Amino acid sequence: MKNATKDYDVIVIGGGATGAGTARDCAMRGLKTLLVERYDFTNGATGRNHGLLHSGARYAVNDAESAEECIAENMTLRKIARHCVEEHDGLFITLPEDDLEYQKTFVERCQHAGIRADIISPEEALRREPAVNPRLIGAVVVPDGSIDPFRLTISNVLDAQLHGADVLTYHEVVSLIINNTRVEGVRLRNNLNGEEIEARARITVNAAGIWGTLIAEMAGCKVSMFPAKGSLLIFGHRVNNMVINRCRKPANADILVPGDAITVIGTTSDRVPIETVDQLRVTPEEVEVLLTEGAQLAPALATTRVIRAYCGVRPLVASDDDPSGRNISRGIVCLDHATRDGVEGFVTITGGKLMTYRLMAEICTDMVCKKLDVNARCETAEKPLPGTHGESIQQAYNVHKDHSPSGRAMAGDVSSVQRFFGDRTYAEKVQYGRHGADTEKISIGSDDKDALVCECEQVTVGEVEYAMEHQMVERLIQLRRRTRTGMGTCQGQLCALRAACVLSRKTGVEAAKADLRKFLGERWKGMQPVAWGSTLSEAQLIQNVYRNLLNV
Amino acid sequence: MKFDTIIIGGGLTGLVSGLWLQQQGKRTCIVSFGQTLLHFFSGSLSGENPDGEVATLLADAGVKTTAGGYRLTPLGELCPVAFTLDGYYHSADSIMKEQSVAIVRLPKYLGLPIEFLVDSLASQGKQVSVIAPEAIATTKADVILVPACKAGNDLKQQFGAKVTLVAAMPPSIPGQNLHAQLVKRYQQLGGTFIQGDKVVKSSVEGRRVAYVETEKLTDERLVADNFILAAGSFQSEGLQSNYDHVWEPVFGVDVDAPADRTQWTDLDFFADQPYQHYGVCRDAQGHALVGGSPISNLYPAGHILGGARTDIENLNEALEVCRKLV
Repeated sequence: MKNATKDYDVIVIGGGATGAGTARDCAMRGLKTLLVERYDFTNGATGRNHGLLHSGARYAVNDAESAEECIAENMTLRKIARHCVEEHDGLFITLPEDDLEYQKTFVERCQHAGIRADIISPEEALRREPAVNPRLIGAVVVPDGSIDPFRLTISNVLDAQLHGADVLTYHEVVSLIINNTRVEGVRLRNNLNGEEIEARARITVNAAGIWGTLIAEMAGCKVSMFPAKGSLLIFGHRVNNMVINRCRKPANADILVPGDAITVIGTTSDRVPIETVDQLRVTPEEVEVLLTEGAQLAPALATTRVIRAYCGVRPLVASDDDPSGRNISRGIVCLDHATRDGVEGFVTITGGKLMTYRLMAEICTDMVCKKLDVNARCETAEKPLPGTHGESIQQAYNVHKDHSPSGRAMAGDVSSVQRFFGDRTYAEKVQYGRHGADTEKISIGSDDKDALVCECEQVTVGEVEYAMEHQMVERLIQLRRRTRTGMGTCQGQLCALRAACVLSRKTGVEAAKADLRKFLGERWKGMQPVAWGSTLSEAQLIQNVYRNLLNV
Repeated sequence: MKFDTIIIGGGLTGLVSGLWLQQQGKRTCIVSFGQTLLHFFSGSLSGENPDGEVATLLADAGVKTTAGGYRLTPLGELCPVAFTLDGYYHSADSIMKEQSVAIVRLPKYLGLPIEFLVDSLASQGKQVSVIAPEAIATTKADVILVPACKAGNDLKQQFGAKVTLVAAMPPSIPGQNLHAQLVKRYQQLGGTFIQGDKVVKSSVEGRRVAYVETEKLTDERLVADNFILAAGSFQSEGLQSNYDHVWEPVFGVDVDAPADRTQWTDLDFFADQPYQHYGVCRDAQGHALVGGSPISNLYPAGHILGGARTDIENLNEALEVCRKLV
C-alpha cells in the first residue's frame, strides 16, 4: 500500500457542503488539510435538496435555535457566496383550509428570531407572485432565496485549495488507521482504479453526512442517525419567482423554490433503513403527494411538465422515536470522540442543514484547533468565496437604485444592467451567473471555444475546458454539477454526447464512452419516475437517437 | 373538402401512402403537424427487401438510393440497411474499403462526435485526419466525410462527389430535404398537403369516420371515404400519455398499454423499453378498434402501431393498407 506523500494536520471525510466548508476553514486557519470524497462533490444530501436559501422562518415556530442560525447564515451567504445566491424573497401563504391564527404566531416567532416577516394582503401577494394559489387568505414575506449547492460547494473546495489544502475525489475511506485508541488517519480506495493508499493526520474529521454513522463505526463509536428520505420534483420551467411555502406546521411538499430556469417542489419525509440509502428511488406514491400538494401552492403546477424526480437523505441525529423525522431538531451536532467515546484524534460534525454548513464548519474547526492547540480566528464569514470578488450585477443595480429619486429602481430601466454586461454574449451572461467573477478565466472569442455544448444551459466548449482545468472535472456528472450541462429540459440527450467528446480530449475515448453510458443511465433514473406526457415523448426521442441513429 | 382518402401524419409513412394512392389516381389529402422522424434521419432506411415498392416510389420522386449494404453511424460503425440515400457514406461490405479518411470539422459545430468517430475508424486500421473545410480542395484522402447538417450539406452542394455525407445529431438537413422532395412529388401528383396543422376533431357515425376538422381550418370539414392514421408514436404526438393512461388523441382508438405507469418503463435506460411497443389496436383487416369494435374506414399505419418493426416493414404494411383502398 502506498502512502500519501505528506502528513496532515487534519483529514476531512466527505465532499458535501459541510466537508468542503470545513476543509476551507481548516486551510484558512493554516492547518495542513486533506479533503477526501468517495465519488464527486455534492453526491449526498448537499446535491439533493431544494436549493433553498432558508430565511429560517420555516423553523421559527418549532425550533428557534435553528431559525436564528439560518437567518444569520442566510445574510452571510448573500455576502460571501453572491454568485451562488438568488435574492428573491419568499411567501408563507395561508389557504382557507389552514388556520389563520398560525400566521400570528408565525410572525411573532420570526420576529423573535430576527427574521423579517411582513404580512401582506392576498392581493399584494398575487401581484408580487402571480403563480401563487389565488385562493390564499393570508401571506407573509420573508427573506428566503435560492442557492446553488453545487456552485457553493465547489467554491469552498477551490478556496480550500487556494489556501493549500489537498483534495482527493473518488477516494473512499475503507478503514481508519487506529493506533491504541487514537485515529491516526485513513485508508483510502481509489474508486476509479481500485488502488489503495493511506493518509495520516493528527485529527480526522467525519463530515460524511448520513454515511457518517458508518465512518464512526469504523472507530468503534456509535452515532445514531435518523436517515430521513426526502423526494423532490423538478418542473420544466420557472413557474414562480418567489419561494412559496405553506404557513402551517411543516408538512409534506410545502416548499416551492425557483432556481435558474426551473422550479422545485419538495419534500416528502420518510424514515429509511441505513442500508438502503445508496439505492433509493422516488416512488409513484411520493410523486402523487408532491404533485397534489404542489398544486396547492401554485395551481399551474398541475399542468406543468415534470422533467425529473430525485431524492436525498437528511443526516439527522436521532433523538426520539418520531417516525417522520419532522420534529427532530435540525440542530448542529459536533462530537469530540475523545471525551465522548475515549477515541482520540477523531471528530464528527453532523446534523444541521445546507444553510448552516459554514457555521457547522466553524464549530468543527474551532474544535479541531482547540485539540491541536492552534490559535487562529475563523474568517469564513467575512472572506468571500472565489467568484464573488469584483462588482456584482446586484451592486450595479443598487448603484442605480441609490441615485434614483425614489430610491427604487424603475421597472424597465436597464442602463445599469447594460453598463455591467456591456456587449457580453448571452452565453457569457449565463456563465457569469454560474462562475461569478471567475468567468474571466473562460476562453472566448474563437469558433472552437464558443461552440455550444449545451444549448439549454448555454455551456460553451470554453466553459467545459475551464471546468476541466480549474474545477476537477473529468466526467459528465462532474461537468453537470459545475456547469449545469444536461440539467435542462432535454436532460442531456444531445449535450451529453457533445460534452463527452470534449471530455474525451482529456480522458481518452474509451473512458468517455463508458462515462456517457453511465450519465445517460443516471439522467434516466430521474426521468423514469415521471415518464409521462412530454417527458415520455422526450425519453422516446432520446432512445431513438441513441438506439437508431447512433446504434448504441 | 372531399377526398377519397385523408392521411393524418406527414412523415415517411404518410407520404409513401399518399404517393402510392395518388399514383393510382386517388384524390388524397395529408394533414401534417410538423416535425417528423425524418428530422432525425440517419440517411438510410432499416430493414430488408431493398428492391421493393418503397424504393420504386422514392426513385419516382427523384430520390436516388443505393440498395443493401451498410451505413456509417456517427460513431464510426457500419451497420446493415435496406438502402441509403445517395450522397451519404455507403459501403457494400461490412468493412470499409477506403484506407484513408478525412473528416471535416465545421466551425462552431459539435453535432458530429468527431473524437469518437476518429477513434473508431483508427481502430479499424484507417488513416484518419481531421481537416478544416478550406482543406477539402487539396485533400487526397480516399473519402472526405462531412456531417449531414446545414453547413455540411452546403459543402456537399459545392464539392459534389468529392465529399460524402455522414449522419450527424439532429436535425438532419438531408432528412428535411428528403421530406421536401417527397412533399413536392406528392403535390405534383395532385395531392393536397396541409402543413403545420393538426386534426383536432373527428366525427364518427355508424362505425365510420365521416369527417375530421383541423385546428387552423376552422370552418372546414375534411370529408373522405377512408382515413389512414399515420400520426407516429409518443415522440410525434400520435400517442399521448399523462400520469394514469395512454391514449390516441384524434379518434380515441384503443391503445394496447397498461394503466399502471410503472409498467411503461424499464429502470435500465438501454433496455428495450415497454412503451416503445405500445400502439393502437386494429382488427385482422387492419381497421382501427375503438371501444373494442372496428371503425370500418379507419386504418392505422407506421409507428403509431408500436413495436420494433423496421422502416421497410412499416412502409410495406402501409402499402398493404393502401391496396385495400383502390
